[in-house]
Amino acid sequence: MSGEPRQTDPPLLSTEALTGGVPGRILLEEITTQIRRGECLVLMGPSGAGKTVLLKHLIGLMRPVSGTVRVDGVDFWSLSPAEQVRTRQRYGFAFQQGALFDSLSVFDNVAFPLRRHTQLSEERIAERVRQCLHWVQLRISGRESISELSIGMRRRVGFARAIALEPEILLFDEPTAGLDPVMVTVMSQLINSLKARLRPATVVVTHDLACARDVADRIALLVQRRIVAEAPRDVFFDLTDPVVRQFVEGKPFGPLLPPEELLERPDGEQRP
Amino acid sequence: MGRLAALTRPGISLAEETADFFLYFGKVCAAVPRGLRERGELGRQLMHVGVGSFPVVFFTAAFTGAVIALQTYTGFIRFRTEGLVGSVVALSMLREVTPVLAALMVTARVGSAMAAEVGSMRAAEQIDALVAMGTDPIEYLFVPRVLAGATMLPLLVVLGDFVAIVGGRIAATTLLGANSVQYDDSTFAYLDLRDFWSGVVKASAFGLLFTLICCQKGYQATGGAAGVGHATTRAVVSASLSVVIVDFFLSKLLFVL
Repeated sequence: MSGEPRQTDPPLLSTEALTGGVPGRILLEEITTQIRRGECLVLMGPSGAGKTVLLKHLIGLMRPVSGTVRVDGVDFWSLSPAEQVRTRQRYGFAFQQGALFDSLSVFDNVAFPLRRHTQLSEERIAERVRQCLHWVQLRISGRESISELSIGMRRRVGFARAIALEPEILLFDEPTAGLDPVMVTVMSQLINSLKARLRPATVVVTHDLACARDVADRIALLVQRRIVAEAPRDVFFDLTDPVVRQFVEGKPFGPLLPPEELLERPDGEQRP
Repeated sequence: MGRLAALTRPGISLAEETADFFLYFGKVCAAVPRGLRERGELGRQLMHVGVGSFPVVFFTAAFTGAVIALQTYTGFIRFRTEGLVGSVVALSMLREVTPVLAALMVTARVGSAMAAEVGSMRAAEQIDALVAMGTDPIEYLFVPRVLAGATMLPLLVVLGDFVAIVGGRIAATTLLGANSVQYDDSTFAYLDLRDFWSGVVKASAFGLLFTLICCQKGYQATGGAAGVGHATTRAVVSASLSVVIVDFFLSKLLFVL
């Protein structure tokens, strides 16, 4: 299949010993990974492990404390501000809550990157917006305001806006959080169809094992600021690493949980 | 050491705020040529700051002009100098009261909304979304708002000056029985074109000041709804105080030159 990543391809997006955070607090340590064109890396891990922070480093919304983020082999932070802006246009970022502009209609949100970064006529833009809304399976006119939409619809409008410029790199932050099981499957199918259509390098942050199984080529487990396990999807779920086992099986006790967070078992028995 | 730190903290914080202001001022100046392409956003802001604020400035100027006429008339009549009331109203309104009051009223009306809007955009990751889509938030959010403030506030002040003079005249002639011919003569007798221009220049500076401060405070908001509320309060307080303080220095500068 043309969408399959080729092992010979150079990585489109990579990080090397990436350490990052906010002033006074390190939130990521020594992250080294790479994603090829057409490949989907799923980042999993407990809440607060640093998954969204890693995603924000990948698109240059946060500057690393040390280490590098490379796009097509070029260090993002060695670029001039104008080149950084141009590089970001190669990305599509679907935010968890959509991050849609609530002062604009659905149509204007999806048209936003097209109006700013292309010379397309309004007719061509309208055609492209309709196409993007169709791809994310939204059958709406586009005149709706953002406040009228459900969370699942907002997220899909966010997807539509992210793919409007046919990006080479697609980043999804928790695409299935808070959705019912049917919508989880719909979202996963959507990510797969976008992968097949655009063949981007994709990174998906999720807690959802079903979504990870559906969309991943490779899965990385991020725990306490570090990637502790990374493997192809079929291998990942059979890894014997106790951290991976605990996460995949959802056990309350194990190496994942710091001792101070749970002193007693829910049944009142002292923890071992 | 603790006391020394407590004593110096307000000074350090003021210095930091000032440095921050000039940093953003520099960024906005550099982004103006590209920001001018944001026609839609610029149009919306011009309407919001200018047309939308007209009623507020109208009533403020009309009643302030009237009250200054009332107060000066009742004071000046004791010295038999009531013939100068028109001059006092015109001079004080044009040079000082209209620009400052209009700036404060527009800060309360528009500046608070700007800080809350930009702050909410920060909280809802919309600013991250702008950057992620290869758009400079300074260019898209700051430039149209600052340009709208710096151009529309002077226009509002010109209208406000006129309304204030008329308001003062109505109050003096109808309520106090002042001679209308004498009042009109007095209004323009000592008025210099520089009195008018100085108010307009001040208004432009205040427009730039309050929009930039309010955008900046919203942009730097952290946390959720509470953070946006805090940022809005800080924006209105900082912008209003800055208007009053900068007014003193501008008055000194403009009338010395």
